[in-house]
Amino acid sequence: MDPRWIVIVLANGLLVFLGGQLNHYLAHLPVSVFLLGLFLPVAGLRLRFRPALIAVFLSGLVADAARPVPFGSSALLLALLLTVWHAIRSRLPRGGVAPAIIGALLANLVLFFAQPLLLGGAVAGSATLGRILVDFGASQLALVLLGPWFFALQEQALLLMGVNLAEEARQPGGAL
Amino acid sequence: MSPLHFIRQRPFAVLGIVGLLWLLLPVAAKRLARVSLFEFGAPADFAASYARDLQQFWSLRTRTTNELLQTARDLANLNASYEARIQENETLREELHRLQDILRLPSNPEYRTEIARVVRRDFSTWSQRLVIRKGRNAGIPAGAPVIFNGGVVGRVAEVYAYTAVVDLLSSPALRLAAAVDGDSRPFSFQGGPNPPFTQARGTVEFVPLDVYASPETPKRLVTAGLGGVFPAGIVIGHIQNLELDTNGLFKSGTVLLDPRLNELHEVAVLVPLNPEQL
Repeated sequence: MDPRWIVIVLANGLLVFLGGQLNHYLAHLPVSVFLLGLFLPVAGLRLRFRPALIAVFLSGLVADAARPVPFGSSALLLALLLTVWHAIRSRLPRGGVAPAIIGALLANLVLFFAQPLLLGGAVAGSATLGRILVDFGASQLALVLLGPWFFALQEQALLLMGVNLAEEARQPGGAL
Repeated sequence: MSPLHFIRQRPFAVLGIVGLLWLLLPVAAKRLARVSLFEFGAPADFAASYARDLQQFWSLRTRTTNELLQTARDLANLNASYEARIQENETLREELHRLQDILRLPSNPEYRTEIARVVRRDFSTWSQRLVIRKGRNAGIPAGAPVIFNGGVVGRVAEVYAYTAVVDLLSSPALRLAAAVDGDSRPFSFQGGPNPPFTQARGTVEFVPLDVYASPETPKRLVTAGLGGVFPAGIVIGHIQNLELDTNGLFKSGTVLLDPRLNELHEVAVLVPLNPEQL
């Protein structure tokens, strides 16, 4: 079995757990962070399409299991974003952490503002503009702070499983 | 063309096929997948919750003996006052049953209380939920009311093997029948909107025209007891203002909820003795 998607799904599961804990403590304020955009960069930039699609779709299902959205909706949205990213990645810079962070920020923007559509009209209209802006700002800030650590964690976990993404990317048909 | 080549060349076609297959998947399979994934992640939340309890235990161990003696004395006073209230409640309950028998009124729904620790607070931008550390193992049904010493917490939305998800009072998904304390006329309460850095809110609709409230003279809002879910008279919050609706027939306004809702550690689930109540 391909270890790539298993490692990415487990890492994303850890992110869901840590994000949940962060939101637990932020509930006092009340403010929340939304980190689904971090699921995409390693899969979108470094993996081939098939393991990336499996990893991202399953990660979306893991995230959806604990959220009040239709089950599978975030998974399909993540899969769509991954496919778009995969289609244009040959024209994008891919070295270093910055492109991954920028990609994650853009993906998070799309995913965050798609939430009201997934939740339905009555619930979507219930948030104040102030809360939306504060939560979105906090999410993007958390994403910038957590991103480098999370990408390194995924790459190190893959290395432990004997997968060297940097080498694979340079091979024919690879990401670079 | 090999499947791998097709995937590499036509990612959008593959995405379409995946989407179609997902849409065609039976609802039961999706439900099973959702429950399985939630249960798979539950032990991690449990572990974090127990770690917090342990942390609290060790922090309490640092308190001096004098502080503990003071707390024990306060608790003894509180217990004495609760003892008196329990006796008073028993007398009132017997009186109520006697009157219901005489007037042949339907009896009020009866509940048993199940105390549960909060595993995780999930107050996102658009939904406000709690995960509690009891589920089917404690006989908690979906739809059961949840309360704390400050009033209503919310309603059980989903039940799993050892956990349950509660829609909080401040969640827009929660709507219930409410009334002003001391007034029997019911109207509608809905959770939200929830601005940042301040206490949770709700809104009331279809309020009778002769009810007035302002920030200086707020009105206490309680459950109306209609619909069979929440018992009557449990505190929801305080109505801060009421304005005339555009149709001129009713008023609507804002309700400030208890600020302790954002930092709950323990709640009580009211499990109906007759499951058909829900």
